[in-house]
Formats: sequence, structure tokens, C-alpha cells
Amino acid sequence: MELDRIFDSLLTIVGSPHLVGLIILAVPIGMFFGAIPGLGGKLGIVLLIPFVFGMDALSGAVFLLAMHAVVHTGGSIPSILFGVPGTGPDAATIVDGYPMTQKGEAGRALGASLGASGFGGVVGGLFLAAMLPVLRPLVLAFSPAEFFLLALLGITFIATLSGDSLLKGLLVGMFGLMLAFVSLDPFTGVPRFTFGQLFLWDGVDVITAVLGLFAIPEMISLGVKGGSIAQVRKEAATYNLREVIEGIFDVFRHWALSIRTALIGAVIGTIPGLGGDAASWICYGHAVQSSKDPSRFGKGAVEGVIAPETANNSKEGGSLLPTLFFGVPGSSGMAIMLGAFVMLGIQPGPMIALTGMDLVWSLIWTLMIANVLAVFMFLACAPAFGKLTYVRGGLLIPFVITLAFLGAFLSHAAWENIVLLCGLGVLGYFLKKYRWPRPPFVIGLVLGPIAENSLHKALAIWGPSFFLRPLSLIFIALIFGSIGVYFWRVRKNGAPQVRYDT
Amino acid sequence: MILNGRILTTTVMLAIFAGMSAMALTYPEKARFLPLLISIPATLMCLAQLVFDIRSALQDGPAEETAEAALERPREIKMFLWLAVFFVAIMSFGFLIAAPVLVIAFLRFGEKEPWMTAILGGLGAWVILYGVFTWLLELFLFEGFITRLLIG
Repeated sequence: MELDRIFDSLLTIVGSPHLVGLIILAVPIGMFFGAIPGLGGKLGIVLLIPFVFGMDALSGAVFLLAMHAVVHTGGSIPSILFGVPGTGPDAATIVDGYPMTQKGEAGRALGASLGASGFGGVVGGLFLAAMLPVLRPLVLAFSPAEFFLLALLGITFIATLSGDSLLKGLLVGMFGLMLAFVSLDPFTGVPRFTFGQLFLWDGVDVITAVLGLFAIPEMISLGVKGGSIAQVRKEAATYNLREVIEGIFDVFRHWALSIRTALIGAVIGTIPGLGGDAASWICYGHAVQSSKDPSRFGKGAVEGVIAPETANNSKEGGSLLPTLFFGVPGSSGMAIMLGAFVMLGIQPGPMIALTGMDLVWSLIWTLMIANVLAVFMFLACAPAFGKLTYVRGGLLIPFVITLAFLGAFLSHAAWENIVLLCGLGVLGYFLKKYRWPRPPFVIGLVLGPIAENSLHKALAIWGPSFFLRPLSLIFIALIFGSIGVYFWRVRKNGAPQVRYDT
Repeated sequence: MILNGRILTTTVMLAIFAGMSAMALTYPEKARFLPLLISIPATLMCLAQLVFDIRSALQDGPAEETAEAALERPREIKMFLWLAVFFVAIMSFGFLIAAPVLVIAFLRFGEKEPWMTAILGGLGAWVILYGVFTWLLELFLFEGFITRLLIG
């Protein structure tokens, strides 16, 4: 009977020109919102809500979800081509995507990102379907203790991402952690490191920080060195459709990594409060750590594009789980989606398991269809985007800098973010110039607040004994395992010769 | 020259960590616990990095500036000046006015592009900023402090 329901939902969508048309319309809109720094999926949902007024619940939900599902597919485009992340979670894609572009492999990087996004989206949908029976105990098993240890596990990846300079990597990661403490202290309400500035009370905006530390230094560097982003001759580079398809095949060549990171992303998406930034960086760290030759990372390893991109899209399937079944949004984007669902007359909560499974299955299919459709719709455009990287840098610099300024402002509608952007941009340039690895910064910035909030909550609830909870012990074992693997590798192969120049 | 850019960068990082440690000491116990847990070891590690950098500079001696580095310096200064111009202009006149003018100025005077290319670039920037962000998405773009004063 359940199989009937599952396939009836699929037939409802593909048999309805209206719903198919809405998905076809939503996919490029979602990719546009992802590709423009500072816009992102949340703003996309907010701006599209007026357009779904008057639609029936299914059509409205399908339209909004299809748009939101492919935001990160679009977000990878500026990350790979210009080193400018479209959204926060896309920052991890820069680390290897941008060096691939510099090597003249923009087409392959875009293909890998497309394939990984589509694959991740489908796995996310399948994960959502598979988890329906065991959903409740899984979500309820995660308490602040596990949040803290999961964040700590992510922070241990700082060492892995430090490349050939562990000390500098740790310091940049700690700098990210310190910036994460800039805000009102969540427990005492005391403003910390805010210098009396109201805009810092909510913390340092991740998009502004990432644009400052990555986009601005790249543009200054491009202006200093001259030439184009791609550092090879145009004739020697490959940016045709074949190269893009080659990138898509890379996802299947690294099938084990793709499946692992898609599942990790989906699981992280299930856990409310961890967010997409954590998913992409944890998966990137996992890719480096599990690689036989970590020295290729940071120089344009295709696995470094696949891992964060699969996670970015698979987490959307995961985050739909608590949103629909508990009314607890799995991410900030899903929080707005939750409001839109309620506005459309869909009442998320446990009752949906009894009365709304048709809708749930339709949404699962929407996730998968939108992700696959995004791959095909974007496939033809990718080679043309690849050619952009051969445009002389001087022509691109003013547009990218304007876009970075715009992204910083739009992320919180605060002009003060532009000041922060410039400050971090100058610092980021010198960090880049003197080979301080920058990726650990984002891990610290993203996971710092999660770690701090969860630690205080866990200590308040259980005291130090929270370390002895069964799930905590598993995470502690994973943390020690992760550190152990790093030192075992250093002992076996010497310090990894990775240089994160991006 | 012992005091090079590498040492200065490490010194700036050291100053940031040391300054944040000092500030954290003034907060209540619960609020300062984690910041101090990170910033004090970071300060010590940064000091170690500084020692490594200075030792390395002393060992290498006063190296001759390479031709590439000498060529890069004026370009670096030029790019930082342009970043400052972008910052001041956008803060003063906002995105809709400053961004197209900056694109034209950068292309014409910074990159020596023909006037036609520069004007087309500026026009394109304005069309995207106004057409997509203001008209289509109805987003508020920062109008700049001087524009705000003039408009009232």
C-alpha cells in the first residue's frame, strides 16, 4: 500500500504540466539566488512567498522547495569561477574549485559540482524516505552534549585543513573561533568584543567574513599579478561540454566518497541548529582525511569539490525531516520554509505522519526531480561560464568587488558589514601572500557558536558527566580517532605538503 | 631587512590575540571562559610563530628584493588604493550612484580600457543593480551618507 502511495505521488507530479512547469520555473530562480553573493535561499523563499499566495498547498510547497533545493547548485558557480562564495556553505567549494579554474579546469570543476549537487540532492531525498520509520528516536537522541561533541569533531578537522603549516592553520582556526565569540554572550548577555557596535551584537556575519577573507584577497591578487583568473593559456584549457561531463563522471569515479559525504550531509541536515556551513566543511575535512594523497588538496583536487557539494544538497533532504515531522526547522532556510508551509495551510508536526504522507512523498520527489533537472538545465551553460575565467582580470575586478560589497551589505542590510569586509579583506590578502591557510578560519567561525552554546547547555543539564552519555562516548571515540589518524599519517608520510593558496 | 611582511603579518595576528585576551579578562566569568580558553594558547602559539619567523629572517639575512617582488609592490599599493576608493565612494554615494562610476573609473584609468568599454561596463553595472536588485527584487540598496544628507 505504501508503494502505491509513493509512486502515486510521483505520478501526481510528473503527470501534472502545472507542477512540472512550476519546478522548471523554480530551478533557475533558485540557482540565481544561490549564484549572487548575499542573496541565498532564505531571501529567495521570502521574496517568492507573495507569488504562491492563492496556489493550492501542494503547488506552493513544490515551487518553494524546488527553488530552495538547488540554491547551492547555483552557489558553486561564483565559488569555482571567481573564488566568491554565493552562499556561506559554498565557501568550502572555493578551496579546490578555484585552483581547478586557475589550472584551466573550470569546466571539469563545474561538472563535478553539478554532478555532486544532483547526486547529493537525490541521496538526500532517498535518505529522507529511508529515515521515515526511524525518524523520531534519531532526532530525539541528539542533545546539547552531542551537538557540542559534533562541533568539536568538526573543529578537529582544522588540523587536517592546515596543510604544510599546522601552527599557522591552528592559529587561523583559532582566529575564526575568536571572531565567533563576537556577539552578546548567550548566557550573561554581556557584549563581547563588539566595541559598542550594535551590528556586532548578533555576531560576525559568515557571508561577510568569507567574502572578506576569500573574495577580496583574490581580486587584489588578480590585480597585482595581472592576466586572467585561469593561469593557463586559453588554447591549452578545456572548457567544452565534454570536460563538464568528465567532471560529472568524476562524481561516480569517486562513488564511495560521494555516498559517504552525501549521507554525512543528510544526517547533519537532520540535526536542527548545525546548519549547512557545518555540513560542507565537515565533509570537506572528511575528504582530505580519507584521501590516500591529501597533498593534492588545496591545489585543485576534484574530490575537494565533490565532498562539499554533495553535502550542500543532501542536507536539504535531511533538514526537511525535523521541519515536517516535528515542526522544528532543520536549518534557518527551513525555518522560513516552515512559515511558508503554515501559510499554505500545511501543518507540520507529528500528525503529518498520519494525514499528510501523500504531501511528504510529493516533497521528497520534488527534491530529487529539482536536483536532477538542475543538472540538465545547467549543463549546456557550464562551458560558457568556464570561458568567463579567460576574460582579463582587469575587466572582472570592479564587478566582483562591487558584488562582494553588495553581498556583505545585503546579508544583514548593514553598511557596517562593508567596513568589516574591507578590514578582513586586507588581512586576508596578507594571510594569502604569506601562506597562512585560510579554510580553518571558516570552520572556527561556523562551529564556534554551536560549540559554545551546546557546551554551556550540556554543563547546565548534566554537569561534566555529559561526556559519559552513550552517544557522547561514540563521538569522543570519533574525535580521538580523527586526531589519531592525522598523527598516524604525519608519522607515516611526514607533514602533508598541502598549500592552501586560495 | 629583518622586519619583513611575513613578520608584520604574524605580529598583527599576535596583537589581535593579545588584545582579545586582554578584553576577555574584563568580562564576567562565564562570558570569558571560552574566549580565554582559545585566546591565551593562541597568543602563546603566535609568539612561537613570531620567533620562528624572526629566526628564519635572521638566518636568511637581508635578502635582496627579487625583481618580481619589486614589480608587485606598486601594483599592490595601486590595488589597495582602489579598494579604498571603492569603500569611500560606496559609503558616500551608495551602490546605485557610486558603483557604475567606479566601474567606469577602474576600467578607464586603472586598466586603460577604451572609453566605450568602460562606459558599457558602468552601464551594465547600473542596469543590474537597478534592474535586478531595486526594481525586480525590490531590495533596499545602501544609498550612501552624502546622498542621504543631500536627499534629506
